[in-house]
Amino acid sequence: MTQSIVTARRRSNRGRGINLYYLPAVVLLLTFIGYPFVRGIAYSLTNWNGFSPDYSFVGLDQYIRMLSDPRVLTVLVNTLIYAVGSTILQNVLGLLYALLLDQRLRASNVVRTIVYLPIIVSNLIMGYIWYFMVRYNGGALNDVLAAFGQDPVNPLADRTLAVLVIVLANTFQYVGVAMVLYLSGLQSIDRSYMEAAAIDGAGAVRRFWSVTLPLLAPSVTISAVINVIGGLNIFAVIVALTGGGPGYASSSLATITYQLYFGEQNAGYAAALGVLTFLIAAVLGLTTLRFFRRREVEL
Amino acid sequence: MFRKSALLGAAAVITVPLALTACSTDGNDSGGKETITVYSTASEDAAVQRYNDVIAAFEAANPDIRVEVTYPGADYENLLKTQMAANDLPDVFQTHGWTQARYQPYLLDLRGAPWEGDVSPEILPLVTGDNGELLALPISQNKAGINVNIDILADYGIDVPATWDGFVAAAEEITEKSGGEITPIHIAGGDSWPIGSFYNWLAIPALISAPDNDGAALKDGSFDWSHWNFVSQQLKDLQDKGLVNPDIVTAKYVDSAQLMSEGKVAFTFYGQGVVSEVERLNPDIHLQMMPIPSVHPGDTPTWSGGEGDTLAIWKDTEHVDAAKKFVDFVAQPENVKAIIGDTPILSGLTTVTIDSGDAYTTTDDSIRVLPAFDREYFPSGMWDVMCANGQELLAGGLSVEQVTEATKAEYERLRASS
Repeated sequence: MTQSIVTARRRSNRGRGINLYYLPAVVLLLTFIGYPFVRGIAYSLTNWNGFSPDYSFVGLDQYIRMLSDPRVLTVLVNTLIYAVGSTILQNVLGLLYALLLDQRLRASNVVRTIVYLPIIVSNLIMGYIWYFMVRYNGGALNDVLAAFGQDPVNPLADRTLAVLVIVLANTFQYVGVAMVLYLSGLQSIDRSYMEAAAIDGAGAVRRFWSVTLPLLAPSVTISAVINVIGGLNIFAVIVALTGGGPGYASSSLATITYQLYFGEQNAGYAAALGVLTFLIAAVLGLTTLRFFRRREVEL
Repeated sequence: MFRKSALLGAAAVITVPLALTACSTDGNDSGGKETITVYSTASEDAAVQRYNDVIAAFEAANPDIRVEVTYPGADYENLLKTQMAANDLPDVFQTHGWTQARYQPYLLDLRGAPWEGDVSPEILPLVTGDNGELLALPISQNKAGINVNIDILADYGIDVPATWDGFVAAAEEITEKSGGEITPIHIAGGDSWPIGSFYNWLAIPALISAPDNDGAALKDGSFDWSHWNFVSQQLKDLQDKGLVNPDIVTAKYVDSAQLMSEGKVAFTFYGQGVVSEVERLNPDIHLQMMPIPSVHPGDTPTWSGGEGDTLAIWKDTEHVDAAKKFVDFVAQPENVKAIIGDTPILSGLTTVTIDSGDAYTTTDDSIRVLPAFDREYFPSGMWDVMCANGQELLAGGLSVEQVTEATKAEYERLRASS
């Protein structure tokens, strides 16, 4: 009886202790995320210009305006392309790099470092690096084309190619993250599974699809969710590469929100787009997580 | 028990300092000096150094005052807007052309300052409040025009054009005679603000400078917006005729400066700022500024003026006396000259005369200096609208008429909220 009372007390104390340990994180979350988020929703219901103390409540006008603003559909599509496109490329290339490096070749460490290195460069600088590679006048790409007697090209002036270049720049910078996640996953796979599959006559491709990939499912989930959320928030690389142009053809929700708030002094509308961004990020992030988590269970 | 207390204590140690980082200082450091915060728009190394030198001289003359200066660079405007929203502005800051239209409600009345009577009559209206307040110290006032590589014009025997039609003809002649080697007009549309510069300057002869103009209509909201089509159409025509750089929608300012330093560009719309940049890259390039050509018959060329460097004091500062001492110190003629340096610009005080050397293609003082278009005739916030709509025009996303519609809609929104 005494033992059961002690056990019950321990269980009770354990629950109370854990709640208090959450306190610092909860305070920080509420202060720097919760409160600004609620204020942002409040501002989205006004016509605030971003700095004046005078503004009016306009209800859902800003959200209604979104429905007729031709820019919104373009930036929405762009944002989804940046999120999904970058995710697919980063994960496919990251997995390929990881499979290569898992072979433990002589130059594995050097290759791993080179692939991971772009992550330490700031997004803005990465954007400028790519700009100087693809710019019309004096860009590295056109220098190479000139060496082969070809006319210069200006991919950033094309609405579709500009978006593609941004996806490539983002992929180039963050493929190392996926590579490291997958490499870690690969190296945690027990070699006996591969040996058993080989003994059973499975070839390399079959071993990959039936053994390696299912056991990598948790890494895929983490990598995909991180990449999707990161892709939704692309900002600095767009500012440096295209400025959102030509026109607003390569703008994302993040860049158009910035331009509306600071440039056009339309903070209320910018806040409404911020709420939209949050909803998209939440839906896309949760959908991705559930999709891949279900695949983990199935596999 | 001990372990739980230790963990709770650690949590408090982490949380409390984080909360205290939000607390601000009271402007007095432990050395007993009074600290004032100063924000400057200076971004080039030479300009920043000139400011630092004047600040150092002020601190030497006022050992009980410390100046904490910040140079936010390209983010200056956005930073000030954020601080206005929080009603927490620097003690002293530059108003970069928006003294009346944007910052007026936040500025201390400086009437009674020892330099009040020295303010140049041309700039005085721009730094005077609605009720006659003196809102800012005008260190300098702009006198800007189209940048021209004067050697290219001389090589091809082309005179500085006085009319817009003459300007376009000069650009066509340069293209023909150079065999396409020289870009007549370079506009870094990828950065968007050069497009705003084009609109801002061409709007002066198109809408403001002629005897019968749209100035009053723009201010009272009765402007005929079909007149705005002209400015957009000129930009579109320059692109369609191949008189601007082929990468106008993607080129950046650094590209303009680089090509100008290589002598491959004849005209740009950047004003004073690009001159030192180009000369730093290639001292042999001879850049001058020409007056903005006239558009309408009977009109004459003009310069784009308005505020240059200004200093204002936040009306709610806790360091009024120290801030005033700083502004009064800067207003002394030797310090005004020190800040202006060799920038081709006019002084905002009658006590200082600046020798611009051969920065301008003409020394004719009869050429009018008119206010910067967007600051005088548009509500605050229209600059980005001009830039964005102009970009869309060049990218083929909007027609000339659609640009006008979009610009008008934003003009009405911003006018209503200002």
